[in-house]
Amino acid sequence: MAGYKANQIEAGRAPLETALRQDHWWLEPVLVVGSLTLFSIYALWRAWEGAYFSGLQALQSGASWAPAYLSPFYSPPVHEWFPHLAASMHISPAFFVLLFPLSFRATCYHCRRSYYRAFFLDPPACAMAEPCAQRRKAYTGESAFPFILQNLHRYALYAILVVVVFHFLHLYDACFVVHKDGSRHFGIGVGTLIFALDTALLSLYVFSCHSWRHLIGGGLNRMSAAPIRSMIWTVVSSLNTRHGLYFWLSLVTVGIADAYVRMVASGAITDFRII
Amino acid sequence: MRDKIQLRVYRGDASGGETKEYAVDTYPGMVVLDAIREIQASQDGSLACRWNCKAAKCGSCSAEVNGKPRLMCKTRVEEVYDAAGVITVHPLKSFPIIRDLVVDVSWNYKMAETIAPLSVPDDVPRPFRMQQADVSRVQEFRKCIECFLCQNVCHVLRDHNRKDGYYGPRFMVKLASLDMHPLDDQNRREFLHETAGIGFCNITKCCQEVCPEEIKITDNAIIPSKERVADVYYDPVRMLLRRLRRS
Ligand code: SF4
Ligand code: SF4
Ligand code: FES
Repeated sequence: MAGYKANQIEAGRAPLETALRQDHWWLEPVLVVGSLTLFSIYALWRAWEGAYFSGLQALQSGASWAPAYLSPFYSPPVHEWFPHLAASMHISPAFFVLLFPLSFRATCYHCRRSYYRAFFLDPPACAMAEPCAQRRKAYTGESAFPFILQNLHRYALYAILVVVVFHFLHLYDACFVVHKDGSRHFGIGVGTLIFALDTALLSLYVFSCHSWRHLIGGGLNRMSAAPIRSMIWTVVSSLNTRHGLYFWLSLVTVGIADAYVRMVASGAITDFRII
Repeated sequence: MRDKIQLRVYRGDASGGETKEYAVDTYPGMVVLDAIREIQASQDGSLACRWNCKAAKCGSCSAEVNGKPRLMCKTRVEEVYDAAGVITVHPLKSFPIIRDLVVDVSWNYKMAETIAPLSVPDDVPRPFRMQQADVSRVQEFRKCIECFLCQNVCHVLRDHNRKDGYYGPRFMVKLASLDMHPLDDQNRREFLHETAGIGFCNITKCCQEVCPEEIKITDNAIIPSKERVADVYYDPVRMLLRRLRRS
Protein backbone atom coordinates (compact mmCIF):
# COMPACT_ATOMS: atom_id res chain seq x y z
CA MET A 1 0.00 0.00 0.00
CA ALA A 2 2.75 2.40 -0.94
CA GLY A 3 1.89 6.06 -1.34
CA TYR A 4 -0.78 5.82 1.33
CA LYS A 5 -0.63 9.01 3.38
CA ALA A 6 -2.47 10.47 6.30
CA ASN A 7 -2.16 13.75 8.04
CA GLN A 8 -1.43 14.78 11.56
CA ILE A 9 -4.02 16.54 13.65
CA GLU A 10 -4.17 18.35 16.99
CA ALA A 11 -0.98 19.90 18.30
CA GLY A 12 1.11 17.88 20.68
CA ARG A 13 0.19 14.44 19.41
CA ALA A 14 2.64 12.02 17.84
CA PRO A 15 2.12 11.86 14.06
CA LEU A 16 -0.27 9.23 12.73
CA GLU A 17 2.24 7.25 10.71
CA THR A 18 0.88 4.69 8.34
CA ALA A 19 3.85 2.44 7.79
CA LEU A 20 4.08 0.93 11.27
CA ARG A 21 1.63 -1.93 10.93
CA GLN A 22 3.50 -4.67 9.14
CA ASP A 23 0.74 -7.26 9.10
CA HIS A 24 -1.65 -7.74 6.19
CA TRP A 25 -4.12 -5.11 7.44
CA TRP A 26 -5.22 -4.37 3.85
CA LEU A 27 -6.35 -7.92 3.16
CA GLU A 28 -9.72 -7.63 4.91
CA PRO A 29 -10.84 -4.42 3.15
CA VAL A 30 -9.75 -5.84 -0.21
CA LEU A 31 -11.71 -9.05 0.37
CA VAL A 32 -14.78 -7.14 1.55
CA VAL A 33 -14.78 -4.78 -1.43
CA GLY A 34 -14.17 -7.71 -3.80
CA SER A 35 -16.85 -10.01 -2.43
CA LEU A 36 -19.56 -7.38 -1.90
CA THR A 37 -18.98 -5.94 -5.37
CA LEU A 38 -19.05 -9.37 -7.00
CA PHE A 39 -22.21 -10.35 -5.20
CA SER A 40 -23.93 -7.06 -6.05
CA ILE A 41 -23.07 -7.42 -9.73
CA TYR A 42 -24.33 -10.99 -9.76
CA ALA A 43 -27.58 -10.11 -7.93
CA LEU A 44 -28.22 -7.13 -10.19
CA TRP A 45 -27.61 -9.17 -13.30
CA ARG A 46 -29.92 -11.96 -12.09
CA ALA A 47 -32.66 -9.52 -11.15
CA TRP A 48 -32.27 -7.73 -14.46
CA GLU A 49 -32.43 -11.01 -16.36
CA GLY A 50 -35.85 -11.75 -14.84
CA ALA A 51 -35.81 -15.37 -16.06
CA TYR A 52 -34.79 -18.91 -15.05
CA PHE A 53 -35.87 -18.51 -11.46
CA SER A 54 -38.13 -21.54 -11.17
CA GLY A 55 -36.99 -25.16 -11.51
CA LEU A 56 -40.39 -25.87 -13.09
CA GLN A 57 -39.34 -23.92 -16.17
CA ALA A 58 -37.51 -27.08 -17.24
CA LEU A 59 -40.97 -28.57 -18.01
CA GLN A 60 -41.49 -25.96 -20.71
CA SER A 61 -38.34 -27.03 -22.46
CA GLY A 62 -39.62 -30.59 -22.79
CA ALA A 63 -38.47 -32.36 -19.61
CA SER A 64 -40.88 -35.00 -18.28
CA TRP A 65 -40.45 -33.87 -14.68
CA ALA A 66 -38.92 -30.92 -12.87
CA PRO A 67 -38.04 -30.06 -9.27
CA ALA A 68 -40.25 -27.41 -7.61
CA TYR A 69 -37.34 -25.11 -6.81
CA LEU A 70 -37.80 -21.35 -6.60
CA SER A 71 -34.80 -19.07 -6.57
CA PRO A 72 -34.43 -17.20 -3.26
CA PHE A 73 -34.17 -14.00 -5.33
CA TYR A 74 -37.85 -14.50 -6.21
CA SER A 75 -39.10 -15.44 -2.76
CA PRO A 76 -41.54 -14.23 -1.48
CA PRO A 77 -43.18 -14.82 -4.89
CA VAL A 78 -44.10 -11.23 -5.74
CA HIS A 79 -44.32 -12.31 -9.40
CA GLU A 80 -47.26 -14.61 -8.49
CA TRP A 81 -49.01 -12.17 -6.21
CA PHE A 82 -48.84 -9.17 -8.52
CA PRO A 83 -48.22 -10.64 -11.98
CA HIS A 84 -49.04 -7.37 -13.73
CA LEU A 85 -47.25 -4.97 -11.42
CA ALA A 86 -43.71 -5.75 -12.45
CA ALA A 87 -44.66 -6.15 -16.11
CA SER A 88 -46.44 -2.81 -16.20
CA MET A 89 -43.41 -1.16 -14.64
CA HIS A 90 -41.06 -2.98 -17.03
CA ILE A 91 -39.03 -4.15 -14.13
CA SER A 92 -38.16 -7.60 -12.87
CA PRO A 93 -40.11 -8.70 -9.75
CA ALA A 94 -36.76 -9.63 -8.21
CA PHE A 95 -36.07 -5.96 -7.59
CA PHE A 96 -39.04 -5.82 -5.20
CA VAL A 97 -37.96 -9.01 -3.45
CA LEU A 98 -34.34 -7.93 -3.12
CA LEU A 99 -35.39 -4.80 -1.23
CA PHE A 100 -36.05 -6.99 1.83
CA PRO A 101 -32.63 -8.61 2.19
CA LEU A 102 -30.91 -5.49 0.85
CA SER A 103 -32.36 -3.27 3.57
CA PHE A 104 -31.55 -5.86 6.23
CA ARG A 105 -28.00 -6.48 5.10
CA ALA A 106 -27.22 -2.84 4.39
CA THR A 107 -28.21 -1.83 7.91
CA CYS A 108 -26.80 -4.97 9.58
CA TYR A 109 -24.31 -4.08 12.29
CA HIS A 110 -21.72 -6.50 10.91
CA CYS A 111 -22.13 -5.29 7.36
CA ARG A 112 -21.87 -1.68 8.51
CA ARG A 113 -18.62 -2.46 10.27
CA SER A 114 -17.31 -4.05 7.09
CA TYR A 115 -18.29 -1.38 4.59
CA TYR A 116 -17.42 1.60 6.78
CA ARG A 117 -13.94 0.12 6.91
CA ALA A 118 -13.55 -1.19 3.38
CA PHE A 119 -15.49 1.31 1.27
CA PHE A 120 -15.37 4.47 3.38
CA LEU A 121 -11.91 3.81 4.93
CA ASP A 122 -13.42 5.02 8.17
CA PRO A 123 -10.96 3.59 9.32
CA PRO A 124 -9.35 1.24 6.73
CA ALA A 125 -8.05 -0.92 9.58
CA CYS A 126 -7.52 -0.41 13.29
CA ALA A 127 -4.88 2.23 14.08
CA MET A 128 -4.32 2.80 10.35
CA ALA A 129 -4.73 6.50 9.74
CA GLU A 130 -7.62 7.53 7.56
CA PRO A 131 -6.57 9.19 4.33
CA CYS A 132 -7.53 12.87 4.34
CA ALA A 133 -9.51 12.55 7.57
CA GLN A 134 -9.12 16.27 8.20
CA ARG A 135 -9.85 17.51 4.73
CA ARG A 136 -13.27 15.94 4.61
CA LYS A 137 -16.41 17.43 6.09
CA ALA A 138 -16.54 17.11 9.88
CA TYR A 139 -17.13 13.49 10.79
CA THR A 140 -20.59 12.77 12.20
CA GLY A 141 -20.76 8.98 11.94
CA GLU A 142 -24.26 7.68 12.59
CA SER A 143 -25.43 10.85 14.31
CA ALA A 144 -26.48 12.65 11.12
CA PHE A 145 -28.01 11.94 7.70
CA PRO A 146 -27.61 9.56 5.91
CA PHE A 147 -26.16 7.08 8.41
CA ILE A 148 -28.56 8.09 11.16
CA LEU A 149 -31.06 5.94 9.25
CA GLN A 150 -29.15 2.86 10.40
CA ASN A 151 -31.13 3.22 13.60
CA LEU A 152 -34.11 1.76 11.73
CA HIS A 153 -32.40 -1.63 11.40
CA ARG A 154 -35.15 -3.27 13.48
CA TYR A 155 -37.70 -2.52 10.76
CA ALA A 156 -35.51 -4.24 8.21
CA LEU A 157 -35.42 -7.15 10.66
CA TYR A 158 -39.23 -7.36 10.64
CA ALA A 159 -39.09 -7.46 6.83
CA ILE A 160 -36.46 -10.20 6.70
CA LEU A 161 -38.49 -12.34 9.12
CA VAL A 162 -41.08 -12.57 6.31
CA VAL A 163 -38.33 -13.73 3.96
CA VAL A 164 -37.23 -16.39 6.46
CA VAL A 165 -40.79 -17.77 6.61
CA PHE A 166 -40.86 -17.97 2.79
CA HIS A 167 -37.48 -19.66 2.75
CA PHE A 168 -38.97 -22.43 4.87
CA LEU A 169 -42.08 -22.66 2.67
CA HIS A 170 -39.95 -22.93 -0.44
CA LEU A 171 -37.69 -25.44 1.21
CA TYR A 172 -40.81 -27.55 1.75
CA ASP A 173 -41.76 -27.12 -1.92
CA ALA A 174 -38.24 -28.10 -2.93
CA CYS A 175 -38.94 -31.55 -1.47
CA PHE A 176 -41.21 -32.31 -4.42
CA VAL A 177 -40.93 -32.89 -8.14
CA VAL A 178 -43.70 -32.03 -10.58
CA HIS A 179 -44.43 -34.27 -13.57
CA LYS A 180 -45.60 -33.25 -16.99
CA ASP A 181 -49.15 -34.38 -16.16
CA GLY A 182 -49.19 -32.03 -13.17
CA SER A 183 -48.81 -34.67 -10.44
CA ARG A 184 -46.45 -34.00 -7.50
CA HIS A 185 -44.18 -36.52 -5.83
CA PHE A 186 -41.88 -36.35 -2.88
CA GLY A 187 -38.22 -36.34 -3.78
CA ILE A 188 -34.95 -34.90 -2.61
CA GLY A 189 -32.38 -33.52 -5.01
CA VAL A 190 -29.08 -31.71 -4.61
CA GLY A 191 -31.03 -28.48 -4.91
CA THR A 192 -33.13 -29.46 -1.87
CA LEU A 193 -29.94 -29.84 0.16
CA ILE A 194 -28.64 -26.49 -1.07
CA PHE A 195 -31.95 -24.87 -0.07
CA ALA A 196 -31.80 -26.55 3.32
CA LEU A 197 -28.30 -25.22 3.92
CA ASP A 198 -29.26 -21.76 2.71
CA THR A 199 -32.39 -21.70 4.89
CA ALA A 200 -30.41 -22.85 7.92
CA LEU A 201 -27.68 -20.24 7.43
CA LEU A 202 -30.16 -17.46 6.72
CA SER A 203 -32.00 -18.38 9.93
CA LEU A 204 -28.75 -18.38 11.92
CA TYR A 205 -27.86 -15.03 10.40
CA VAL A 206 -31.24 -13.46 11.17
CA PHE A 207 -31.63 -14.93 14.65
CA SER A 208 -28.14 -13.81 15.69
CA CYS A 209 -28.98 -10.20 14.74
CA HIS A 210 -28.12 -7.52 17.29
CA SER A 211 -31.55 -5.89 17.00
CA TRP A 212 -33.20 -9.27 17.54
CA ARG A 213 -30.97 -9.82 20.56
CA HIS A 214 -32.16 -6.50 21.94
CA LEU A 215 -35.85 -7.12 21.25
CA ILE A 216 -35.85 -10.61 22.66
CA GLY A 217 -34.37 -9.65 26.02
CA GLY A 218 -31.42 -7.29 25.70
CA GLY A 219 -33.63 -4.33 26.57
CA LEU A 220 -34.36 -5.80 30.02
CA ASN A 221 -32.39 -4.81 33.08
CA ARG A 222 -33.96 -7.28 35.46
CA MET A 223 -33.33 -10.59 33.71
CA SER A 224 -34.43 -12.61 36.74
CA ALA A 225 -37.97 -11.27 36.38
CA ALA A 226 -38.33 -12.69 32.84
CA PRO A 227 -36.72 -16.15 32.92
CA ILE A 228 -37.92 -17.28 29.48
CA ARG A 229 -36.83 -14.13 27.66
CA SER A 230 -33.60 -14.23 29.58
CA MET A 231 -33.01 -17.82 28.48
CA ILE A 232 -33.70 -17.00 24.82
CA TRP A 233 -31.47 -13.93 25.14
CA THR A 234 -28.65 -16.16 26.39
CA VAL A 235 -29.00 -18.45 23.36
CA VAL A 236 -29.23 -15.51 20.94
CA SER A 237 -26.20 -13.92 22.61
CA SER A 238 -24.12 -17.00 21.95
CA LEU A 239 -25.28 -17.09 18.31
CA ASN A 240 -24.54 -13.37 18.12
CA THR A 241 -20.82 -13.92 18.71
CA ARG A 242 -20.71 -15.51 15.22
CA HIS A 243 -23.10 -13.07 13.54
CA GLY A 244 -20.42 -11.90 11.10
CA LEU A 245 -19.61 -15.45 10.02
CA TYR A 246 -23.30 -16.17 9.38
CA PHE A 247 -23.56 -12.95 7.39
CA TRP A 248 -20.91 -14.11 4.93
CA LEU A 249 -21.90 -17.78 4.80
CA SER A 250 -25.56 -16.98 4.14
CA LEU A 251 -24.52 -14.51 1.44
CA VAL A 252 -22.56 -17.26 -0.30
CA THR A 253 -25.30 -19.90 0.01
CA VAL A 254 -28.06 -17.61 -1.26
CA GLY A 255 -25.90 -16.95 -4.33
CA ILE A 256 -25.23 -20.65 -4.82
CA ALA A 257 -28.94 -21.51 -4.38
CA ASP A 258 -29.90 -18.99 -7.05
CA ALA A 259 -27.15 -20.11 -9.42
CA TYR A 260 -28.21 -23.74 -9.01
CA VAL A 261 -31.84 -22.93 -9.80
CA ARG A 262 -30.72 -20.97 -12.85
CA MET A 263 -28.71 -23.91 -14.14
CA VAL A 264 -31.60 -26.34 -13.62
CA ALA A 265 -34.23 -23.95 -15.04
CA SER A 266 -32.19 -23.11 -18.12
CA GLY A 267 -31.51 -26.77 -18.81
CA ALA A 268 -27.76 -26.36 -18.38
CA ILE A 269 -27.84 -29.26 -15.91
CA THR A 270 -30.39 -31.82 -14.79
CA ASP A 271 -31.02 -31.80 -11.07
CA PHE A 272 -29.12 -34.65 -9.45
CA ARG A 273 -31.68 -36.69 -7.51
CA ILE A 274 -30.94 -38.35 -4.19
CA ILE A 275 -34.38 -39.79 -3.36
CA MET B 1 14.27 -16.61 20.21
CA ARG B 2 16.89 -14.01 19.24
CA ASP B 3 19.64 -12.99 21.66
CA LYS B 4 19.52 -9.39 20.53
CA ILE B 5 16.74 -7.15 19.28
CA GLN B 6 16.52 -3.58 17.97
CA LEU B 7 13.97 -1.27 19.54
CA ARG B 8 12.87 1.79 17.60
CA VAL B 9 11.43 4.06 20.24
CA TYR B 10 9.70 7.39 19.67
CA ARG B 11 11.53 10.13 21.58
CA GLY B 12 10.12 13.61 21.84
CA ASP B 13 7.49 15.83 23.38
CA ALA B 14 4.53 17.99 22.37
CA SER B 15 6.73 20.06 20.07
CA GLY B 16 7.86 17.07 17.97
CA GLY B 17 10.12 14.07 18.05
CA GLU B 18 11.76 11.24 16.19
CA THR B 19 12.39 7.52 16.40
CA LYS B 20 15.67 6.36 18.00
CA GLU B 21 17.13 2.92 17.80
CA TYR B 22 18.48 0.83 20.70
CA ALA B 23 19.99 -2.66 20.75
CA VAL B 24 18.81 -4.79 23.66
CA ASP B 25 19.85 -8.28 24.83
CA THR B 26 16.88 -10.55 25.34
CA TYR B 27 16.09 -13.24 27.90
CA PRO B 28 13.31 -15.82 28.07
CA GLY B 29 9.93 -14.32 28.92
CA MET B 30 11.05 -10.77 28.15
CA VAL B 31 8.19 -8.37 27.46
CA VAL B 32 8.41 -5.04 25.61
CA LEU B 33 8.22 -3.16 28.90
CA ASP B 34 11.31 -5.09 30.12
CA ALA B 35 13.17 -4.03 27.00
CA ILE B 36 12.21 -0.38 27.56
CA ARG B 37 13.35 -0.54 31.19
CA GLU B 38 16.56 -2.19 30.05
CA ILE B 39 17.21 0.86 27.85
CA GLN B 40 16.45 3.16 30.77
CA ALA B 41 18.79 1.24 33.06
CA SER B 42 21.78 0.77 30.81
CA GLN B 43 21.60 3.14 27.84
CA ASP B 44 19.48 6.23 28.36
CA GLY B 45 18.00 7.12 31.72
CA SER B 46 16.06 10.00 30.21
CA LEU B 47 13.66 7.72 28.27
CA ALA B 48 10.24 8.35 29.81
CA CYS B 49 7.63 5.63 30.18
CA ARG B 50 4.74 4.99 32.56
CA TRP B 51 4.18 1.67 34.27
CA ASN B 52 3.10 0.30 37.57
CA CYS B 53 2.01 -3.31 37.99
CA LYS B 54 3.74 -5.23 35.17
CA ALA B 55 0.79 -7.57 35.44
CA ALA B 56 -1.62 -6.05 32.90
CA LYS B 57 -3.84 -4.75 35.65
CA CYS B 58 -3.02 -1.08 36.21
CA GLY B 59 -3.42 0.08 32.62
CA SER B 60 -0.42 2.43 32.72
CA CYS B 61 1.94 0.99 30.11
CA SER B 62 -0.26 1.47 27.04
CA ALA B 63 1.72 2.16 23.86
CA GLU B 64 1.74 1.31 20.17
CA VAL B 65 3.92 -1.67 19.37
CA ASN B 66 4.51 -2.07 15.63
CA GLY B 67 1.60 0.29 15.07
CA LYS B 68 -0.85 -1.65 17.22
CA PRO B 69 -2.14 -0.39 20.56
CA ARG B 70 -1.07 -2.80 23.32
CA LEU B 71 0.00 -3.04 26.94
CA MET B 72 3.81 -3.21 26.86
CA CYS B 73 3.85 -5.47 29.92
CA LYS B 74 1.58 -8.00 28.23
CA THR B 75 3.49 -8.18 24.95
CA ARG B 76 6.32 -10.70 24.67
CA VAL B 77 9.18 -9.51 22.49
CA GLU B 78 9.32 -12.74 20.50
CA GLU B 79 5.69 -12.25 19.48
CA VAL B 80 6.38 -8.89 17.89
CA TYR B 81 9.92 -8.59 16.52
CA ASP B 82 10.15 -8.85 12.73
CA ALA B 83 12.54 -10.90 10.60
CA ALA B 84 15.33 -8.42 11.29
CA GLY B 85 14.62 -8.42 15.03
CA VAL B 86 13.12 -4.93 15.03
CA ILE B 87 10.25 -3.69 17.23
CA THR B 88 8.85 -0.15 17.01
CA VAL B 89 7.38 1.40 20.14
CA HIS B 90 5.43 4.63 19.84
CA PRO B 91 3.28 6.48 22.37
CA LEU B 92 -0.53 6.53 22.18
CA LYS B 93 -1.43 8.84 19.33
CA SER B 94 -4.83 10.19 20.28
CA PHE B 95 -3.53 12.22 23.20
CA PRO B 96 -0.87 14.91 23.50
CA ILE B 97 2.61 13.72 24.42
CA ILE B 98 4.17 14.76 27.72
CA ARG B 99 7.46 13.04 26.95
CA ASP B 100 8.52 10.02 24.91
CA LEU B 101 6.06 7.22 25.71
CA VAL B 102 4.12 9.20 28.30
CA VAL B 103 0.96 10.90 27.10
CA ASP B 104 -1.55 13.19 28.78
CA VAL B 105 -4.77 11.18 29.15
CA SER B 106 -6.44 13.69 31.46
CA TRP B 107 -9.19 14.38 28.90
CA ASN B 108 -10.57 10.98 29.89
CA TYR B 109 -10.72 11.90 33.56
CA LYS B 110 -12.59 15.09 32.71
CA MET B 111 -15.16 13.09 30.77
CA ALA B 112 -15.48 10.60 33.63
CA GLU B 113 -16.33 13.40 36.03
CA THR B 114 -19.38 14.36 33.99
CA ILE B 115 -20.98 10.91 34.32
CA ALA B 116 -23.30 10.66 37.33
CA PRO B 117 -22.37 7.66 39.48
CA LEU B 118 -24.76 4.79 40.16
CA SER B 119 -27.90 6.30 41.64
CA VAL B 120 -30.29 4.06 43.56
CA PRO B 121 -33.62 5.37 44.91
CA ASP B 122 -33.73 5.87 48.68
CA ASP B 123 -36.54 3.38 49.18
CA VAL B 124 -34.46 0.43 47.94
CA PRO B 125 -33.36 -1.49 51.06
CA ARG B 126 -29.64 -1.44 51.78
CA PRO B 127 -27.43 -3.40 51.40
CA PHE B 128 -28.62 -4.28 47.88
CA ARG B 129 -29.56 -7.87 47.26
CA MET B 130 -29.34 -8.77 43.61
CA GLN B 131 -29.65 -11.92 41.55
CA GLN B 132 -26.67 -13.11 39.57
CA ALA B 133 -28.78 -13.08 36.37
CA ASP B 134 -29.29 -9.34 36.84
CA VAL B 135 -25.64 -8.42 37.20
CA SER B 136 -23.83 -10.92 34.96
CA ARG B 137 -23.89 -8.60 31.97
CA VAL B 138 -22.60 -5.64 33.93
CA GLN B 139 -19.77 -7.66 35.48
CA GLU B 140 -17.99 -7.91 32.15
CA PHE B 141 -17.78 -4.12 32.01
CA ARG B 142 -16.29 -3.91 35.47
CA LYS B 143 -13.14 -5.65 34.25
CA CYS B 144 -12.06 -2.37 32.62
CA ILE B 145 -8.58 -1.28 33.82
CA GLU B 146 -8.77 2.16 32.17
CA CYS B 147 -5.75 1.59 29.96
CA PHE B 148 -7.44 3.83 27.33
CA LEU B 149 -6.20 1.65 24.48
CA CYS B 150 -9.76 1.69 23.17
CA GLN B 151 -9.92 5.47 23.40
CA ASN B 152 -6.62 5.63 21.56
CA VAL B 153 -7.62 3.37 18.68
CA CYS B 154 -11.12 4.78 18.19
CA HIS B 155 -10.97 6.65 14.89
CA VAL B 156 -13.58 9.17 16.05
CA LEU B 157 -11.08 10.47 18.59
CA ARG B 158 -7.90 9.48 16.79
CA ASP B 159 -8.41 10.61 13.20
CA HIS B 160 -11.34 12.99 13.51
CA ASN B 161 -10.53 14.32 16.96
CA ARG B 162 -14.24 14.64 17.76
CA LYS B 163 -13.54 14.91 21.46
CA ASP B 164 -16.07 17.74 21.35
CA GLY B 165 -18.87 15.30 20.55
CA TYR B 166 -17.97 11.75 21.55
CA TYR B 167 -16.92 10.32 24.89
CA GLY B 168 -15.24 7.25 23.35
CA PRO B 169 -15.64 3.50 23.90
CA ARG B 170 -14.36 3.40 27.47
CA PHE B 171 -17.24 5.59 28.54
CA MET B 172 -19.73 3.74 26.39
CA VAL B 173 -18.77 0.73 28.52
CA LYS B 174 -19.20 2.75 31.70
CA LEU B 175 -22.57 4.15 30.62
CA ALA B 176 -23.79 0.73 29.49
CA SER B 177 -22.88 -0.70 32.89
CA LEU B 178 -25.03 1.99 34.52
CA ASP B 179 -27.92 1.83 32.05
CA MET B 180 -28.13 -1.97 32.36
CA HIS B 181 -27.89 -1.86 36.15
CA PRO B 182 -31.23 -3.03 37.57
CA LEU B 183 -31.22 -0.44 40.36
CA ASP B 184 -29.95 2.68 38.63
CA ASP B 185 -32.62 5.37 38.24
CA GLN B 186 -30.89 7.94 36.00
CA ASN B 187 -31.83 8.62 32.37
CA ARG B 188 -28.67 7.21 30.80
CA ARG B 189 -30.20 6.93 27.33
CA GLU B 190 -30.74 10.64 27.10
CA PHE B 191 -27.15 11.16 28.26
CA LEU B 192 -25.82 8.62 25.75
CA HIS B 193 -27.73 10.28 22.94
CA GLU B 194 -27.50 13.97 23.79
CA THR B 195 -24.21 14.31 25.65
CA ALA B 196 -21.94 11.30 25.21
CA GLY B 197 -22.50 11.18 21.43
CA ILE B 198 -23.14 7.46 20.90
CA GLY B 199 -24.23 8.27 17.33
CA PHE B 200 -20.63 9.11 16.44
CA CYS B 201 -19.57 5.48 16.85
CA ASN B 202 -19.78 3.64 13.54
CA ILE B 203 -19.33 0.23 15.21
CA THR B 204 -16.11 -0.57 13.40
CA LYS B 205 -15.02 -2.54 16.47
CA CYS B 206 -11.39 -1.45 16.78
CA CYS B 207 -11.96 -0.79 20.49
CA GLN B 208 -13.06 -4.38 20.91
CA GLU B 209 -10.02 -5.63 18.99
CA VAL B 210 -7.52 -3.94 21.28
CA CYS B 211 -9.10 -4.27 24.73
CA PRO B 212 -6.60 -6.23 26.87
CA GLU B 213 -9.41 -7.27 29.21
CA GLU B 214 -11.23 -8.74 26.23
CA ILE B 215 -14.38 -6.79 26.99
CA LYS B 216 -16.70 -7.12 24.01
CA ILE B 217 -17.02 -3.35 23.93
CA THR B 218 -18.92 -2.97 20.67
CA ASP B 219 -21.01 -6.13 20.80
CA ASN B 220 -22.03 -6.02 24.44
CA ALA B 221 -21.91 -2.34 25.39
CA ILE B 222 -22.18 -0.04 22.37
CA ILE B 223 -24.59 -1.91 20.11
CA PRO B 224 -27.02 -2.78 22.94
CA SER B 225 -26.87 0.90 23.99
CA LYS B 226 -27.53 2.02 20.41
CA GLU B 227 -30.59 -0.22 20.39
CA ARG B 228 -31.78 1.22 23.70
CA VAL B 229 -31.27 4.75 22.38
CA ALA B 230 -33.17 3.78 19.20
CA ASP B 231 -36.11 2.63 21.39
CA VAL B 232 -36.39 6.18 22.69
CA TYR B 233 -35.36 8.35 19.75
CA TYR B 234 -35.65 6.44 16.47
CA ASP B 235 -38.45 3.91 16.67
CA PRO B 236 -41.62 5.62 15.36
CA VAL B 237 -43.94 2.83 16.52
CA ARG B 238 -42.59 2.86 20.07
CA MET B 239 -42.72 6.63 20.11
CA LEU B 240 -46.36 6.57 19.05
CA LEU B 241 -47.25 3.90 21.62
CA ARG B 242 -45.59 5.94 24.36
CA ARG B 243 -47.55 9.00 23.33
CA LEU B 244 -50.85 7.06 23.28
CA ARG B 245 -50.11 5.57 26.70
CA ARG B 246 -49.43 9.00 28.12
CA SER B 247 -52.59 10.57 26.75
S1 SF4 C 1 -16.60 0.63 17.46
FE1 SF4 C 1 -17.15 2.75 17.85
S2 SF4 C 1 -16.18 3.23 19.79
FE2 SF4 C 1 -15.21 1.37 19.03
S3 SF4 C 1 -13.43 2.08 17.93
FE3 SF4 C 1 -15.07 1.90 16.43
S4 SF4 C 1 -16.05 3.93 16.30
FE4 SF4 C 1 -14.79 3.87 18.18
S1 SF4 D 1 -12.54 -0.99 27.92
FE1 SF4 D 1 -10.70 -2.28 27.63
S2 SF4 D 1 -9.40 -1.09 26.25
FE2 SF4 D 1 -10.92 0.33 27.06
S3 SF4 D 1 -9.97 1.27 28.83
FE3 SF4 D 1 -11.14 -0.50 29.58
S4 SF4 D 1 -9.69 -2.21 29.61
FE4 SF4 D 1 -8.75 -0.58 28.35
S1 FES E 1 2.36 -2.04 33.90
FE1 FES E 1 0.31 -2.20 34.67
S2 FES E 1 -0.79 -2.71 32.87
FE2 FES E 1 1.26 -2.74 32.15
